[in-house]
Amino acid sequence: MYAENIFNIGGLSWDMKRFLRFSLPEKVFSRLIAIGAIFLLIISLLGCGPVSQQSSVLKIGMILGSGGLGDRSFNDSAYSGLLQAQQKFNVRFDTVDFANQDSNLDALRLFARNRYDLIIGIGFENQTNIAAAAKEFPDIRFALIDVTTPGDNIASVVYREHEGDFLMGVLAAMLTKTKIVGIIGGMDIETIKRIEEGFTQGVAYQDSNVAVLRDIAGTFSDPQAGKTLALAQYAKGADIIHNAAGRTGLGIIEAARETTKYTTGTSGDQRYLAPGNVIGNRPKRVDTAVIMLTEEVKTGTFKAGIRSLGLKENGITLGPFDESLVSKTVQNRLDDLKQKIIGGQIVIRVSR
Amino acid sequence: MRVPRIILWLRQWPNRGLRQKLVFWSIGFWVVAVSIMSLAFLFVGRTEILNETRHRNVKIASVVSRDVNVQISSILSDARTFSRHLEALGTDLESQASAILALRLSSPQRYRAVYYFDSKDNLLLHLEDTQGSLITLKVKDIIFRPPVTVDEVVIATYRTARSTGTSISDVYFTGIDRIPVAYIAMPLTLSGGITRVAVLQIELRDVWQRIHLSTLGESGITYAVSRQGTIIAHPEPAYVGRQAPSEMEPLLAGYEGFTEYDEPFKQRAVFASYSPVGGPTGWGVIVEQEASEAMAPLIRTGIIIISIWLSLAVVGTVGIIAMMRSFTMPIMELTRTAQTIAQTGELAKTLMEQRPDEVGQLSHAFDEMIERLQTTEGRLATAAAEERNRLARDLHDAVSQTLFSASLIAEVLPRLWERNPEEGRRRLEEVRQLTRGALAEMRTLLLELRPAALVEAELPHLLRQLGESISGRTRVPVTMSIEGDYSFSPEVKVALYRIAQEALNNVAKHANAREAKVSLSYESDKVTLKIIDDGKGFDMTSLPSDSLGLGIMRERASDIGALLSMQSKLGQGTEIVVIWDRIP
Repeated sequence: MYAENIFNIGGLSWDMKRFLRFSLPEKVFSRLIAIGAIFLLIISLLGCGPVSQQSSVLKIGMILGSGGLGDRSFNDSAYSGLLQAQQKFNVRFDTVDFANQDSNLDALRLFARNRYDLIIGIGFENQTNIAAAAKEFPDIRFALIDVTTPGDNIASVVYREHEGDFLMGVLAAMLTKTKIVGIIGGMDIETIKRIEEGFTQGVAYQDSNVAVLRDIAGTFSDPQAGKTLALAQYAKGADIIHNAAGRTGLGIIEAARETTKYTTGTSGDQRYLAPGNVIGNRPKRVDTAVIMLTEEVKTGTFKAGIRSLGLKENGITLGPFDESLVSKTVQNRLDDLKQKIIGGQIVIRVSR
Repeated sequence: MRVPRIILWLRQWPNRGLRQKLVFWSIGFWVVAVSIMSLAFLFVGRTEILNETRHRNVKIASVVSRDVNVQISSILSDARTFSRHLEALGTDLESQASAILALRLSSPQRYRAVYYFDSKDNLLLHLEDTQGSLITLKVKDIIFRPPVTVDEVVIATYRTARSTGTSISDVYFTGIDRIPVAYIAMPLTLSGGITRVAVLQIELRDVWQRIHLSTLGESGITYAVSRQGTIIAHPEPAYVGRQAPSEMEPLLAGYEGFTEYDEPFKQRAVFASYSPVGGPTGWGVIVEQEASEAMAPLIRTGIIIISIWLSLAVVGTVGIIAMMRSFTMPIMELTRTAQTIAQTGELAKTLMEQRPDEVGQLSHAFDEMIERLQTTEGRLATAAAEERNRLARDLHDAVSQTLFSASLIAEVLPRLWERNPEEGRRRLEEVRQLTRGALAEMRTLLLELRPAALVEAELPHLLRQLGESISGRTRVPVTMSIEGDYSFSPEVKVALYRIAQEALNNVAKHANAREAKVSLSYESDKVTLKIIDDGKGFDMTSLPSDSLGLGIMRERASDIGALLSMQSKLGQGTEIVVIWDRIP
């Protein structure tokens, strides 16, 4: 029965074929077949779209530095990195303010327990927390910005600040009239030492007759301390103070405004705080680091270890400058020197 | 079984006319082309619109989930600040009670209850009073409250916080008013290493409202699921507590995306886009839209495309038929005219409107051709009339004259015979000669009318006839001397005959001879034809070589490869000799 059917169907189709062949010219027949085939191909190609599709959403936790959001500097730069990462890679992020040790660790543990894809600590103040949490949760990826710490699941991002500060030193030496410039650091830590060395070498590179005054405030979060030190340096004849003191630096800017001398901004654009007194800044681009780390996690290339960001990696950038204080020719010289540093023609020596 | 008409029509295909074939194929190709275009648009449009809808819904889900994430984040952040505050207050229970009261009063809508435990499961403080009684509450009332039994969830959250740190419970709904709440428990470290845990009952109505408000279109809703896939927020309360469809597994695993499934309760196909909230809650947000609504623009586009397709097909078909008609009508007209000419033989022009294209050129050329044919036909008729006239003249000149002479003699012959029988006999001989001449003349003329006879007849016979014809006409005796027998090819025979004819004609017209001689002799492969007369002759030096038909004679001779020579002197007659060698 079944076989009979097949035979019948076969016979019928064969008949049709023969009929078509004899009733239409040969060429036309093959052309018809070709048109039909192309037609079916197009339809089958166009008809299939995906019915479901998914992409992973990364969870990023971040513990901010002691300055907190709104510091117009380091932490805001980190936050801006998170926002950019959200646009670029579709992430969900949470930030936690820096508080006491127990609280910080508790926040990091909450991130880790909820299996965040990346947990970032901003600034040296989070070094111990991150190290502790990373030890506790060895399968969670941690990152530490601006300071290094060992660990199989920790990526440390440090900056070659001295490259930017060298250029700021050059700039200060070009702009000073009293031939005395100052630098005030937040705390006596590696980072600030590098900044100081870079700045000093930059000043010397430009003009060996310019003297450099150095002070360390001992805190990153006390503007008053900054102001006191700054006023003292201005009194000693300095007319430009390089500001490397985080929130403490707000006091330096205040002092510059009062004495109508000059200072520089820290990581963020702080010209608005004292228009005419803030020359400009060389932001440490935490956002670059955050985006870089997020991309690594997204693409699965995240590796523990130290990454160093400088002018070349856009980890340190120059400006924006106060155009009335820094002329185009000065900026061009800075850009030339920047290219020389990137190219290795200028080497800045740092002790650590 | 009846065979469908289209099959019958197709079977006749090879016999179909040009117009039908052209129309069939043009329409066929046109309809196929338009259909391919329309379907391509339809399918591309379908995919595009669907993808657009899906990705838009994913973005909406993403935005809502980020919003929820930010809200939870800020709740957590506030709770942290509060716990830092409690830590700072140290072990002073009174001031802590005061702070807790202040917190509740600051935002009674958000912090519905606060529990404060030590590290050994003892509830030190609790504040779950209603908004109304809060206002009159004093710190002492809180401190010296009798112990209460707290919810198991509170205990569980407390214990988690004590052992692992800050913890956030699942979502619960309060008894009567079904308000969504979650518990946040935070460990505190007081000075001296003393640990405490604060548990806040957080009302999530704000967050839920935001989710419920995120609607799109008529059927698009947003709902939220817990870490376990249970629906925790849904515009329709009946859905809360149900398990989300299994298609949502990627969402629970932290993925964002879209899918399609049949909504199990309403039994409708839906498009669902989902996005994880992230953060410590593990929730997910789903944007669900009925497939029919999402497909609506597609259906609208489809209707437009199909109507465009149909109208294009109809307009195109009508256009093709009209165009083919305008092209093929003149050709058909031409065909009909040609057929009429072929059947009736009457030359008729198409007289069609002059078109500038090839069809117009064709009919114009046809008309020109007909015109030429008409001219040629007219000329042929004239030529035939001329030929008839010439024949009549020849008959009149030669045969009629001869026969007239013969009849005159025959009339007087009986009387003459009586008077002078000798003269009579002579005259009779003359009549005989005249009638023979006329007969030969007639035959010669008939030969001219029927050239085929020339080919059939033998050369000696032809030459004799020619001689008789000439002597009959001119009364000049022509002596024949033919030796032997030979068969020639028709070309040679006709050429020799024509040469002899021309030569004798010359004799008759010009020579004024008393006698002419024609001799044909064969000598092995050589044939010699001589025509000699004793007429007045002519001066060969003063005569152009091609006059007197001499040129034609030479031509004929050279055509068959024969040699022609002529000898003549004034008063001494003329001799023409043709020598044809069979083996040239």
